Amino acid sequence: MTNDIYRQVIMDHYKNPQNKISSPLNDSDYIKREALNPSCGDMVTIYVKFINEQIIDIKFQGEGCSICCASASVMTNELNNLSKVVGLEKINQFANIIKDGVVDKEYDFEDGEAFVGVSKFPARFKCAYLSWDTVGKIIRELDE
Amino acid sequence: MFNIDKIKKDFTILKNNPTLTYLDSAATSLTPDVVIEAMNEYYYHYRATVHRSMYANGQKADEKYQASRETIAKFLNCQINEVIFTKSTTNALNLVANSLVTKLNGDDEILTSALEHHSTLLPFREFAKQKGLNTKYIPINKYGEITYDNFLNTVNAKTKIVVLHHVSNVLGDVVPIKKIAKYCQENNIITVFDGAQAITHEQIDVKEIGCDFYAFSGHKILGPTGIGVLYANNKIAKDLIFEYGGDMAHIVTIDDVTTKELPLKLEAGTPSIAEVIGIKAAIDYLMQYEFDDIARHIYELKIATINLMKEIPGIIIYNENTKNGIITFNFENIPTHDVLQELANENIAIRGGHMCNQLTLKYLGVNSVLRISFYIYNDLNDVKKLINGLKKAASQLAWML
Repeated sequence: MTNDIYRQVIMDHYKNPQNKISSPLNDSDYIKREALNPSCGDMVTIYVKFINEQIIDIKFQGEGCSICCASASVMTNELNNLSKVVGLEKINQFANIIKDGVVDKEYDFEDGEAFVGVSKFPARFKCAYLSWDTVGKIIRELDE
Repeated sequence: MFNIDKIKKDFTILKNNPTLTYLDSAATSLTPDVVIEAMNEYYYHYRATVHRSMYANGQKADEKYQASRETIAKFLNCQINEVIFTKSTTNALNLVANSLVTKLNGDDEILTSALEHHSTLLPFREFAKQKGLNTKYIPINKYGEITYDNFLNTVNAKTKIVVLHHVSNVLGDVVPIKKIAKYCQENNIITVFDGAQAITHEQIDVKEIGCDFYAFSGHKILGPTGIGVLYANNKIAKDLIFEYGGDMAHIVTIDDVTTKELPLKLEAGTPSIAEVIGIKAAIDYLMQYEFDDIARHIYELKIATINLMKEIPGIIIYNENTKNGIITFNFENIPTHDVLQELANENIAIRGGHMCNQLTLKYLGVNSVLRISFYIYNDLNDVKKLINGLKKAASQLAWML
């Protein structure tokens, strides 16, 4: 049953996370925001660097469950080099993937598609969405 | 002792969930049919408000409401007007904190510990903070305990309120509240104890403890959600007001109000009548058993489980030596949420996360833990299913190591 959720891609990203840093980043070019689900132990910090309207780098630090950490790793690739507008749209589409199990091919998901199985485990939605939602909040706050 | 097969039959929820292994009673217990029936009887046969109805159903509701208070007064060994119904332990502690802290001034201090549930710590600390008052912490000894000696080393002339848990919801350790309360009585310090985890398996005698306030919830002792009980020493409580509103007011004029006597003065608004009736049914049900037997039963299940857990590699148990029905643990290098998912797939219900007690987890040096908790309807078959579930989880999640 859990094979529905632990796809090989997710396992790979958990074991070998991409763009994960081991200590806090002190670089004023990055916007930092904590992404916390303290009630379940997911404690991640997201760092995003923009040039004008473009995301040009995302890093994360912290710990959490396999779905949270793998999703953060995937997110750093999926959203990188997107404009803020397209980034927000892709975050919404990722929410659809993990909520409804539907992948919109228009958005060129790569490893993000592997989270389609999360839709069968509603309690894991917030794990998978935590880092993506945090980048969305950063973008919306910038645009306020 | 218990006939667990017979007890299980008292809980239709177990019949309706034949594959469920319920080991999360420290979060909330299951409810026997007699409790549900008592509440249904109120709704089906004599639904009416209390304290103000002339008609027959109102009179019956009054009688049942009062009977619940009397049962709880006997249960806690206090006077009837010292039993205050609240929504929950959390609600009770907030009401006490707000009303007591309002009366503090200047250098007055709160004394607590860094092992408290959020519901115990935060109402007092945060209301105190709003008044510019300090909260002090009793140091924890090397075994992770709150000791009487450390209490004595911390309490001082400025201490006006001591607020502590009786039994920890994370580790199950027991705080020496009786000795602490005795000292506080002799030094005019108000004591407030969170009994949410103790009430399940220990006969509580508030007069023997000698405390001023003791709070617990119905849902931890087989009762409904939405009902809590506060024992409130009437010598102190008579001068408190929790909330203004209907039922607590006696005479209201254009610019003043007088209040009713205890306990009604501390129960503003229409109470949770069905739940008050339900908690009596739960206590009546529980009182069929000796609390010593309940404590022994859940401890025996704990020991049996720990012995089997030790055969599973990578499990770290944080509270092996505490005598209760709680096992708090982690798998080394496997996040709690992933273990919970595997157990949930087998319909095994245990708790994971910070247990609303982030300070204790900080003491343990982790962000989250897993907690197994037993109650009267659990047996060795539940232990067997749990162990099989844990072994399967360890196997399924071995890829994470």
